[in-house]
Amino acid sequence: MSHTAEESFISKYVFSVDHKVIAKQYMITGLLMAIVGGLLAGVFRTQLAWPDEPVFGLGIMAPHVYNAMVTMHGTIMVFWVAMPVLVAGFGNLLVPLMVGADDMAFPRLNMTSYWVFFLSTIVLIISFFVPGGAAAGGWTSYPPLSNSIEASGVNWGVNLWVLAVALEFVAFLLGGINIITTGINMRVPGMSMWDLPLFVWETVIASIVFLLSVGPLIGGAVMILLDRNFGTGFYDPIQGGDPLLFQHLFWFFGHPEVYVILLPALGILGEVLCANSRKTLYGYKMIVWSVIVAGILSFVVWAHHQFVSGIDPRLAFPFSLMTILISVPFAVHLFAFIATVWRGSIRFNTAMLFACGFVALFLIGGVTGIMNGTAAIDIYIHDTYFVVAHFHYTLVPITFIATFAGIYHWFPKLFGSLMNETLGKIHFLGTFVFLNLTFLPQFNLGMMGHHRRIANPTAFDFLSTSDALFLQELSTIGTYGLLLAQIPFVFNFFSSMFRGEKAERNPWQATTLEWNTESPPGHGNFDAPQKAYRGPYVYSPEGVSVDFLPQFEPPQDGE
Amino acid sequence: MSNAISNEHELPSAMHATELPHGRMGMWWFLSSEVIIFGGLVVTYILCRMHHSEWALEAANTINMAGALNTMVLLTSSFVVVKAHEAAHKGDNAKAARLLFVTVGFGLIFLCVKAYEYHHEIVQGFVPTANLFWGFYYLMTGLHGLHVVGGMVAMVIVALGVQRGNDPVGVEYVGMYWHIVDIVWIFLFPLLYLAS
Amino acid sequence: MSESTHSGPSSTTVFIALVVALFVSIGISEVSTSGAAVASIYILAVGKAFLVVNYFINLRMEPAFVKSIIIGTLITLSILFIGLIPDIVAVFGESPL
Repeated sequence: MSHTAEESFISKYVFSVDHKVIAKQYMITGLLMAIVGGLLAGVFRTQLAWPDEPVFGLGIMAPHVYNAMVTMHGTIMVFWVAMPVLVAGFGNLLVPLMVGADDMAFPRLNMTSYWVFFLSTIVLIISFFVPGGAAAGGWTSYPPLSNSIEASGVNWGVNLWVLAVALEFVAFLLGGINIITTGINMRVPGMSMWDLPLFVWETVIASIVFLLSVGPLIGGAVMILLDRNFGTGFYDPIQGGDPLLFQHLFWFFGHPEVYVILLPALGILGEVLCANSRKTLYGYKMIVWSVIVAGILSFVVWAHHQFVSGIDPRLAFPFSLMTILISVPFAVHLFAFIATVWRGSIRFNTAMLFACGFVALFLIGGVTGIMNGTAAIDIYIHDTYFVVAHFHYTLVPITFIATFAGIYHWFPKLFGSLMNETLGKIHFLGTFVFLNLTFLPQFNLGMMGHHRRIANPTAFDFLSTSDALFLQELSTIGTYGLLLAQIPFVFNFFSSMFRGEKAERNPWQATTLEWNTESPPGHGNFDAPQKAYRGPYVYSPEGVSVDFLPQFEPPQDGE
Repeated sequence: MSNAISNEHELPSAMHATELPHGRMGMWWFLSSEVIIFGGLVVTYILCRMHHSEWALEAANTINMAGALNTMVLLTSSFVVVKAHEAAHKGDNAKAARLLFVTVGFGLIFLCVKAYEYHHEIVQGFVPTANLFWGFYYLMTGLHGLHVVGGMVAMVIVALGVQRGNDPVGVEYVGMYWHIVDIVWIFLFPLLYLAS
Repeated sequence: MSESTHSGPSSTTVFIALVVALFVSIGISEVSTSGAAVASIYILAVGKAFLVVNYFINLRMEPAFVKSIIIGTLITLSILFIGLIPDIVAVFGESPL
């Protein structure tokens, strides 16, 4: 225990330096933003299905409002939900616990990161209410939509958008340094890098990828601000600039960013699948190496987002090749996960259901990703709903399915109780069914040629056929279902937090160090200094009579 | 930030699995992120300059001697910070704090010279919007200038802390940061001033 | 790590080398603007940065792991550089590269 004195409410729950409190702050901020992002999706899906009718009785939606809503939906879901919940939230909660540390390496820096992030959230929310509305140039903010006021008709919205994103980057840069240092440097005695739980590996690599890719975009974002506010011409061809430059800088960060949020999700999955199949993680070293390879490859795939934006044709082939290549490490993950579950004594609790659901959904997302990554196919389907469906089949499992798996699994370490299993299974069923209902039709809409940035599809004959309208409505109904399916979760979350069944230390009989703490862990985490005696996933070991051997358990007879 | 780092020594978690203290490892990652931020700009600038060979004529309008003077100022200040670190290492905290204040003084000189240059260029019409070269010039030197200011603030905080008796480990970390500011300038100087 | 003066040249020697390199590069830029002159100025800049990193920040005494951070950073930047050449410098159909 590093603090024995009584702490005030403010220092305990608001300006806390305790990594678990900060993790909860990140998660709750992120989940609240998810509600905002989800409602935005509900609104513009309504517009797409019934474009000529008032949306929820509020009036006909103008195209620029539609643009602002999609822009903010994308921005919020990637930067204000996936990043804070998966990387910062779970990273903060689990990395110190899993390596056996009593807090992050730099607790005060950690608190600073959260409050910078909180500030960025406020700035983003404010940007909805300034004259001209929120940013409407797409979440990618390509010039000229972003670097001139005339192009998107939004002035302060974009300035605040850039400011908010920049603050958010600063927060996660500092947070990332903290996670990397904690994961590498605070391991307990006996725990080599090859004894680290998979989640720590994935999160550390993700933070490194983030740290190495975000820098050029920070410069690029400043150039946007200078262009639009002071009239410089970094992205203006008339003044000798180049709009392609921003696309390159954006995707040099933007594509690795996809892996920054994917890797912690895969880490969560590894832990959940392994503990609930009562089997050793299949191919631990192979998975770790594939994470490292994926981290390296993620820097050489970015231009596959730009096959139709006038890039040099000589770039298309190498980037296509690398894009297809980077699917290999993730195929390795999925195969290893399936092999882990194979012939295990599976416990189908809610966390496990979500984890299995992830594998199924992510497979669809991954396979369609290979189609998109091939330049010849991409030129046909680029910017259609096929691409939208593809990245929602990857990002929704990452951002939500993996998060849910993690929350159900680690709820004891967050709030000291177990979540209700019945409500959890209803939540899973609703989410899984309606997720597919929402996004499967979008593949077909994309093949029909539905461009992703039009507010009124019925303006085009080929999207006004009864088939297209039916698919459109199906997708929208799916969205409503998906949103409603979250109500049991919200209820379950709060009722379990306050009235849930109290959890013991290790309710899932898992093997990593975080299960050797109280539920929830007190300030300082562990009762005594920890030591690791073996690798992280010793289930059903041979020669001993127990079902599992945690890392913190001293060596047994016969081991 | 350096204060946040310096406190870790009392905690039981101060043990580190690699040979490095947490603070120094964190600093290396931080420096690497700074290198990426400036490196991204430098890469972009070099590429644009290779495309626009006429920028050599624009670069001739920067004041080489002022840039050279500023390089000298930063190199010297870097040397002073090294001496401050050595003093802190030997336990002479008072001297370390004094040397940090000297470094802050060099930072001020740097900013004054830079302000003179900006003034000289702006009255000649070389404003940020004059053309893309000047856009890059002001962007890169401006961002670097902000880092100089940030480094000066950090050094004042660390120096005051050391005078009050804090752990002088912050001297080392603020020095690492200052060296990176110096290195960035080592590259900006030939890129923007020389080679015209 | 912190024993900065215990091996290799002293910080004073390094400082003098840095100042000499600075004057040489200014000298070169005053007498010539040829390609070779520009190249040597950049080589000197890289050399100066190398000295500062290794002898002022003491990278030379760090474990291999830290060196790989810095090398990884530089490789990342070169990937960015190479990937952007075709679009920003040698624009297709515009330049003979």
